[in-house]
Amino acid sequence: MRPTRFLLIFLTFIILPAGLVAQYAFSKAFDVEEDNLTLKTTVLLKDHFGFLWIGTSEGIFKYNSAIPEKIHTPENIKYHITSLLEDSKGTIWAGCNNGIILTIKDQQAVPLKIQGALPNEFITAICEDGAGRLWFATAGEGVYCYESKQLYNINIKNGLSDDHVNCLFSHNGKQLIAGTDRGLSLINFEGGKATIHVFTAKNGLSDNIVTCIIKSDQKNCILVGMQLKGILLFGIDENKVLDTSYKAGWQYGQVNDIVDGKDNLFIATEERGIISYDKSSGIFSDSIFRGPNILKRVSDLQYDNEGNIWATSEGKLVSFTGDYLKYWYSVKDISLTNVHAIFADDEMKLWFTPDLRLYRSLQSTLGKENLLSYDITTPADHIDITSLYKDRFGCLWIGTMGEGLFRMNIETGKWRRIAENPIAYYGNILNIAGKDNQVWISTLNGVAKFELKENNYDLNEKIDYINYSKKDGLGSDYVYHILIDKKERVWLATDGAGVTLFENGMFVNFFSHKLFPSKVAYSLAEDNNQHIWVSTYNDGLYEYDGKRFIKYDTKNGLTDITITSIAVDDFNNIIAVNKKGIDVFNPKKNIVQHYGNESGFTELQPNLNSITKSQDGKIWIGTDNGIVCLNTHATLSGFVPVAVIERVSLFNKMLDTALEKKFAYDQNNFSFKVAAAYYKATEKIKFQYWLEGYSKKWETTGDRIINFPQLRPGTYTMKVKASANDNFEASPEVTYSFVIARSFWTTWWFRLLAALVIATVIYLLFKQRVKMVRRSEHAEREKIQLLYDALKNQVNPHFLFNSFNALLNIVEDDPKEASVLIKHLSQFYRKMTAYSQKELITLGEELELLNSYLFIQKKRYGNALQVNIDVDVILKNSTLIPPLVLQLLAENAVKHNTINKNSPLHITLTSQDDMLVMKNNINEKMLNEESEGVGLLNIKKRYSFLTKKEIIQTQTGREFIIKLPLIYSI
Amino acid sequence: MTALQKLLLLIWVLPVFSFKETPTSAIYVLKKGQVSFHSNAKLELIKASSSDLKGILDAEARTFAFSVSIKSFDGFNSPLQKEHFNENYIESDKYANATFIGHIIEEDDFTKDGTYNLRAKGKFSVHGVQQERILQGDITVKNGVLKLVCMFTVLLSEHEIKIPRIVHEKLAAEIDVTVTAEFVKQ
Repeated sequence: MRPTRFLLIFLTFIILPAGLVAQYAFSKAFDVEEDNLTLKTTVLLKDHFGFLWIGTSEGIFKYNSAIPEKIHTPENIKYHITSLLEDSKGTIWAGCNNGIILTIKDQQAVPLKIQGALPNEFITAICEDGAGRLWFATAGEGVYCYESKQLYNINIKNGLSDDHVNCLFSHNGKQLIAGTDRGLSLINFEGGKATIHVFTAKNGLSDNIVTCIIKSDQKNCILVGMQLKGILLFGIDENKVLDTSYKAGWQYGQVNDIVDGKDNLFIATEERGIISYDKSSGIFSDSIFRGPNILKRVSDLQYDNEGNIWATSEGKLVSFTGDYLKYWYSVKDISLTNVHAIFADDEMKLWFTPDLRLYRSLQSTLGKENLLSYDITTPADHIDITSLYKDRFGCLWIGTMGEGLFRMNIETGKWRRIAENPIAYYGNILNIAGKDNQVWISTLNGVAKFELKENNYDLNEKIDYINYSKKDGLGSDYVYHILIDKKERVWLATDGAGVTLFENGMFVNFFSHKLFPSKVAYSLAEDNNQHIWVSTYNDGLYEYDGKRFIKYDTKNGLTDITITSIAVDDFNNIIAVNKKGIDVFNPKKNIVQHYGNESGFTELQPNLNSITKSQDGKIWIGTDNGIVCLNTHATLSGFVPVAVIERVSLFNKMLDTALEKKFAYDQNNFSFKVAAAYYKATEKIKFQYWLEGYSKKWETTGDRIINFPQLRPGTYTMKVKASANDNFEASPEVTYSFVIARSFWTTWWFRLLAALVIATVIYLLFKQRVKMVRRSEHAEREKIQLLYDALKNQVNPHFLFNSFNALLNIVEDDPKEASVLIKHLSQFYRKMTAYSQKELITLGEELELLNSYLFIQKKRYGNALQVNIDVDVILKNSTLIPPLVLQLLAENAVKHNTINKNSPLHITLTSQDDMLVMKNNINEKMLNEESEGVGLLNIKKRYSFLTKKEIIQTQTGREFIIKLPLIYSI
Repeated sequence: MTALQKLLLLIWVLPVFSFKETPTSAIYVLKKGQVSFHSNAKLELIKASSSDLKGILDAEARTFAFSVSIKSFDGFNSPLQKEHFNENYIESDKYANATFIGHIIEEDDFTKDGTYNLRAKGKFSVHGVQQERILQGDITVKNGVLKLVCMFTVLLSEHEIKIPRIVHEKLAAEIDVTVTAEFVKQ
């Protein structure tokens, strides 16, 4: 779907020839378009943020003053919206022309589904009562009450005056008043039962068809709009029509809606557009817009927070400035051009001077009634009136350019030129101000103070005066403005010397004392704190607090620093008029509300000091193209655009900010949609945001979507402010706080836990490993043991074999010796048996064994076998050796060599470094005996299990050397 | 639509069932009536009328229904105009009847002789397009006979009746309609 376009089309206003229309409000008209189709606007709603909701023939739009946003429906079904309501919980409800009721949740309108019958007819109105029940009015089925998910129908059978219900009104939250096609039905609803009191034409209602009901400012009263007879005031307690005076002048047909403004009721009619009813004068006006019959059928009216009134009219959306800002381009047949002087007197009359003429009219209905024209000179010979003042005798002082000063009796219209003062006589009068008996005039030739006496009641009596000029201390003779403050001091705004104060008969010029920096002062005003305000040419605005002048300019949000006129309103705002429009400056809050182009202040060309404040607090401004009236009572005083975080999205998915505030570490892509209702000039809105926890300062942006794609875990507060003039100081903040949790692996508890787990795992693995190693070691040992045992078993047969050989030799030669030998042999054998059970024995034990063996062999070989054992005594106990190794080696030496007297065998055993070295000379037998090599191999194997050190075996031509590594007993 | 259909049905079947109505009922049936319209166009006056008006009025419930067949309109300036009216503008083959069904606002008692200015609010349907209208008329009651005179205007644009550009000048955007009817109690 293509984005909805919202076209802003200014209606082309036709500037009429003077005489047809009187009062004009500035207005704008809009078309609501979707996919190039203009939608018919039907109803309007303002929600609690100040945003407008627009019901159309095709669905609902939320208009946040920037972009209207279509509220989508399931399957994009189109609904013709006929009524809208925001309930006290902030939920938006809509009624449709086919009876369907929609609720808006998460920017989607969903039809209400409940048990039981739903309405089938046009929903004309929705209302909430004090008990939180919702009421739906239908055209043909009476009303429906929605309470705890139950829908009750109340119709003619229950006593309702008619089933065609046009409007609903909740009176004090207790009573529901339905306006029907047959009068009013006052409904009390309790325990599912309705008690209905009917009030119709038979009871005195002017018209049976009640089209709208609004609250009246009178207690327990309602204003009732009707189909034919206008509006009336109905007293609920009295149960009667209290005031039908409205009816008297009513000629505008069917009433569709009413809004209650400050000064006026604005009445939407079926055929005559918007009718204003001035509450003070009781006068209806049907031409509040500029141009002829711009609006005909107006169906709904709605105030926004800025004081604008919105209307739906024949599909269009229209807004106008309501009561807060009014324009008169002409009154009766007088075009209001070049209004050089304007003066609101103490009788609610306004004096104004369009095109060199002087008029007086009632302020409330300017030009409609009591328009009086005054001629000072002959009608053909008009004069340029620059200033007006009404003195204590009720006479009007009239200052002119070049024609001097006049004093006029308002009652008779008689006047007298004040000729007695030379600076007034045919002089250029710029301003007149006065208090009690004093009247001051300012001219291009200094100022004059007139002193009224009792005889000056008579217009013809001359008036005493004193003139002051530059030489008296004025600073400059060009004096634009005079202000007499509450302390009776006289302030002068001069061209050339800034501000001059007259106090206790003395002039003090602030410019020459370097207390006021600006040469040209245009206008003066005193606020409620008795501070004096001065506007300047090209130098902004100054406030004098009694000690010094404080400057305000565009930094404070003022739109222009050349300010032609100033005034102070009832809220202590400074109204500063410049060529771009009107600034309403609230110095306390430091905010400026501007009414410029967007409010219709285009090319109005305000005139110097053509400003006046009426007793009801309105500020009237005379311009070259009309009269402007600003009523700050009719706007929210000190209105500033309020920022709203419309939507928070997480990965483009909308969040419920009321509930969703905690997020996981990977839920970190945030997007904030911000808005601020400012219908007057939405393009001026800027936002400041500060995501606390992310950045350290406010950022200013014109964007309405602020993205944070990758937020780290932490605690954040999004703060947003809005401003229409870059001054964010007074703007309220809207905040949304949220937390992105640390990923669980970065939390201290997880780290601790992880460390513990890792440690445990390592420990367990280690333990397991140790266990395994031990097990395999054990297996290995067993294997070795087996092998070893086998090897040892191999030893025994050898030795036996050899021993028996030796014994065999001795037995033949010496049987006695043989018995000794056998004795040795058995001893040797016993030792050997004992040792052979062990893996290792000490070297000493082995040497004993070796000696026993060699003894046996010596018996066999005699001197032919020579043995030399020279082993360090310490080693005998400190080193270990596998049993029978040395014996075996000795045995091998004996076995493999020829041993006789001619070639004896020398066996030496020494310890050398860490080795045990056995040497023997080689006398190789011619015929070698069997089983050679087996013994040596066994030894090597046995050693290899015991130590990594290797047995070194070397064989030279004459010597056989074997080196055995020593195994130290630890 | 259901309500409309019901009422329309009622008009046709009423003579059959009317006997079953309770004696206190206040049903009035249109005995004779005429609908005429005219438009004061710049060049050509279009006018026609029909006596084929059917109607029923319930003085108790204060509801009513009227229906007129489009094709029954006659008295055009020329046969061609009638043809255009039926074929081009109203499309009477598709939308055979014009109807007005609704309720009476004022609470005057029709059992008493007199002349009453009344408003009727209801659904006015021409060219298949329904509009809610409030129409004013005068009812004169004399000897149990209700004589109705009602004048109103119909905006062609409101009923999506499109006018070819060439005849735009001939046909006004507003058509004045006059209805006269005489009701008798059933």
